[in-house]
Amino acid sequence: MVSRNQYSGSTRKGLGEWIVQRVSALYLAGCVVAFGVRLTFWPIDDFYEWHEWWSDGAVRVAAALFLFAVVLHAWIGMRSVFLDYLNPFWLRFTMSTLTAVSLVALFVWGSYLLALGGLR
Amino acid sequence: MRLELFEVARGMGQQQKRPVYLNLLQIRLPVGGVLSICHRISGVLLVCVLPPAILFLQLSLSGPEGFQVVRAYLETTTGRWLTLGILGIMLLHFLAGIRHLFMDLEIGITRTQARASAWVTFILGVAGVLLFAVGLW
Repeated sequence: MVSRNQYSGSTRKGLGEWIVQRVSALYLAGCVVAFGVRLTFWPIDDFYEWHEWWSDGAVRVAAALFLFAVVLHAWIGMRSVFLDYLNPFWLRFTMSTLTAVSLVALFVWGSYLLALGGLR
Repeated sequence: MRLELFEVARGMGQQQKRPVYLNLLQIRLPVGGVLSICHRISGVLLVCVLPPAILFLQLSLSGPEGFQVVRAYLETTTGRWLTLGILGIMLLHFLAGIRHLFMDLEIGITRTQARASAWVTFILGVAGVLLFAVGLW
């Protein structure tokens, strides 16, 4: 029987981030391609059409998931950049904190926009 | 990229006088290394684009006037260049990411293949930017 102790320490550290980075990448890539194809071949040139498209439940759910995936993907990416290039602890800590707070704020703002604001 | 950096460091170690610091001007990164740096830089830039992107979406959905403001701005010369730049950065990040995912599946991981796919990524990126430029103007 596999003992839990086998996985203690740093054995699997980073594996979660690794998989989240790749799964979110796939979703983001799919969304960007779908969005690009939709707007290239069926362009929207009018506010009401644009508003109606964004009022579609499927579009809003897909966009909310997109926003969530962006925030996760951005956090893991920025974090690895900071870990690699920002050596002094205070600088790394400050930048990581600012990034985390900004990303959460962006998520709240974007979710509000998709749920309520601008889409009444 | 780590492996490539390691190779570079090892190459430097073989010199008669081993430098005790990494002289950035002496390091000539292989194309995969350059792509890796570009992937990171483009990623950081894309994060910086997020707030204005949400702002533009909000403005465009606020009403017919807001929509017109966004459209008029995107049609100015500055707007077009910015759009082209952002699309180009997105494309490069996208392509480099796809290359990464293939490498995770252990496809194209020999040095020759990896260098070839890095070149392909850059070439497709430039081709895509030209295509976007045609579409935007």
